[in-house]
Amino acid sequence: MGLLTDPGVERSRLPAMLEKHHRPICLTLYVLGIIWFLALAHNNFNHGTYFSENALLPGLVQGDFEGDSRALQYLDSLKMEVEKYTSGMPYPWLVGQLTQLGLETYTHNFTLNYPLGHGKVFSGKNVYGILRASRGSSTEAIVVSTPYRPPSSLLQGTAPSVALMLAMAHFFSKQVYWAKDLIFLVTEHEQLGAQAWLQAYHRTESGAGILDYGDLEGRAGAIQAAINLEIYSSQVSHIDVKVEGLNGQLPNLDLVNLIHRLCQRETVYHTFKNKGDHPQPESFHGWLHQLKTLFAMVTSQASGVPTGNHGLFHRYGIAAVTLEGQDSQGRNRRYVSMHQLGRVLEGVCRSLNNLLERFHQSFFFYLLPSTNRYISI
Amino acid sequence: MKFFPLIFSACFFALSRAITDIGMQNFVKGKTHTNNWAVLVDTSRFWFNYRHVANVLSMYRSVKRLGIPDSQIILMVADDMACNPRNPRPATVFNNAHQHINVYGEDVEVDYRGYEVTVENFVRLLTGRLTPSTPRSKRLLTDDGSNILIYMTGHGGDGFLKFQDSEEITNVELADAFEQMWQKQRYNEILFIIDTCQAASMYEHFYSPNILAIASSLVGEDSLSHHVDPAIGVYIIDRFTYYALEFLEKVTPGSKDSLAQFLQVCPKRVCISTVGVRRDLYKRDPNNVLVTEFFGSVRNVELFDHVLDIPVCGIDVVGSEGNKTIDKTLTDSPGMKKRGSFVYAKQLPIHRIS
Repeated sequence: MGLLTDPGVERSRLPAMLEKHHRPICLTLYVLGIIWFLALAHNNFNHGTYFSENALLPGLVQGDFEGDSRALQYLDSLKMEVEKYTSGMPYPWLVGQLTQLGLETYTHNFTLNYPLGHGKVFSGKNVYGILRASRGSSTEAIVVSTPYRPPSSLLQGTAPSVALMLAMAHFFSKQVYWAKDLIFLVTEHEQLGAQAWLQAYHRTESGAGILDYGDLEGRAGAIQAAINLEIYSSQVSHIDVKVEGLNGQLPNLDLVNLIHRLCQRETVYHTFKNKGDHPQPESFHGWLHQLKTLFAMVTSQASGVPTGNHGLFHRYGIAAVTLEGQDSQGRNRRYVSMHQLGRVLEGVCRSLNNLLERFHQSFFFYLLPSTNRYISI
Repeated sequence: MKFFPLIFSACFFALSRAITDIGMQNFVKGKTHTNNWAVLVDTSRFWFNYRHVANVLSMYRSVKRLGIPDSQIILMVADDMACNPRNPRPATVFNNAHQHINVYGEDVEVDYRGYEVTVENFVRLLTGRLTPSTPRSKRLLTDDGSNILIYMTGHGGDGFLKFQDSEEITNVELADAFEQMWQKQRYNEILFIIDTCQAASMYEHFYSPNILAIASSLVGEDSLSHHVDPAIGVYIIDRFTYYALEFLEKVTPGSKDSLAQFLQVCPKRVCISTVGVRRDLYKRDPNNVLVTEFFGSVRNVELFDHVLDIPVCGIDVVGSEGNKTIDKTLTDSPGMKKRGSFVYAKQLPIHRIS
């Protein structure tokens, strides 16, 4: 029995009035709710982002990465290899490069029993290398991953991501300050490869019999965070940070703020939903701009489809984002070089290295109207 | 011969009244302590609290340089920054972005390390209630002639200081610990310095005499760090300690800098927080107290070129052939007779100069 219709309750005026006019009241409140939601995009109704995790010390350390020329060399070498593998991944080259850097290199085989395809079986192979922390105790790990796309793929090629990753691996392997292991992962077949790797890493299964996730020969400790790279060119116009995961799950807001802060530090133009911050957020156009960003996030989250491979990490309690970089297409205005990208990645990994616990301080449910404002639940 | 120091110290009781020589008077006036100890505590762990370890190690270096030996310094460091895997300069701890001095060095002696730095261990150390198996390096073996410098740094709040991210010591507990020390005559004077947020709350409840307390911030204020070292990627030292060290770097064992100057070391314009001082329990004027009376272990030596006329008090003296020279000095004063009996020393040797 509802409170208002409880026969024992004394009939006062308010419940009677509510009952009588419930239709207009409901309509008004509904409309008010929508207006309130639209108003949230305005800076008066949302908050500026801040760091909750003290341990991160974001952007305090001066970066030292100078391996951009090495990254371009890797890119040229990879492009030559790719010509031989038009629809697959250049496994031997990748394994060779990672091994030469001194990492523990492994391959991971997985097969997909396609449920809708009359017994069709697809197989794939991921390649990953583990950089062990020389002075740490190898109990935790950070993942830097990239989805490999062959030339025959419909999506844009990620060869520059692989090249950047290898250059970072080379740089990181020379440093003494790692407290966590670093895993450099190149996956195949988009989300399938990442999902299979994660399932094999954590030895869990979701949906028996469809994805046979094989076995991992080598493993590091608990993964604290993952950065997925989708860089499509050696000169990108900006870095777009993608956060939405599977079923709308989001990474911890501290990680998103960390990426934005590091991009700011290295003067890299960074966006969310491919929209940068509006210079006058208090104005009408600023509000409209932020509203569009907000709706873009709401719709992509509502679809439940992850916007990148990072979305698969969230189910395991791992904070993950994807950094996407589109080609600047020769536009003379600002572009982001490999050097800056490397510095951003170095800063992010060093901050993640400072972590003592998994991300738990900041919000897990939020909406972002811009890169530096948030709306919490 | 070996009774001579005993008699000498026992005679001091009457000495101050009877001294006529001015040089001798200056020698015994002012300083009231006979030995110096230092208890330096860093209560916070984790890599982002690097600056607290740098704080306490810098104080350790200053105190050691000014003469207090390691056997009389109790150093409590809650985490190992030098060997933290995140340290890009392994085996070093710096207190300055220029990285001139490695305050960790090769001769640092940490007495309480890591998880041994707890509230219980700290209070037991102060009050002396340690288990019999505690090694000597972990004991505060002070007596009633000891001046103790107690320096604490870490994260604090209104009325408490956080130990190790899991427990706290309250200002009431600290005050009671000091009172226990006073009751058991375990100190002559204490200089208590605390560099945390809302540090002044920690000395609010002190009620034992002869304590001078300095806090880096008042209640409601935060103590701020000084600067970041971009090569290491952490805040490397706190403001109050930075300016205190700047002052101490210029102090030598022979300096005549007074404690009053030390109290002015961090004005609000550089410290941003207000330095709080509690002086009502301290009966000496800080202008007359040398900094080295707490921070160093300065042996006061005066050379006289003439024979001093030290009056004797009526203490029995052993008569034997071997002590002829002593007897001679003592029998110089009129009315002194040789007697042949021993005197027991007091169980708790108490001496008061003034």
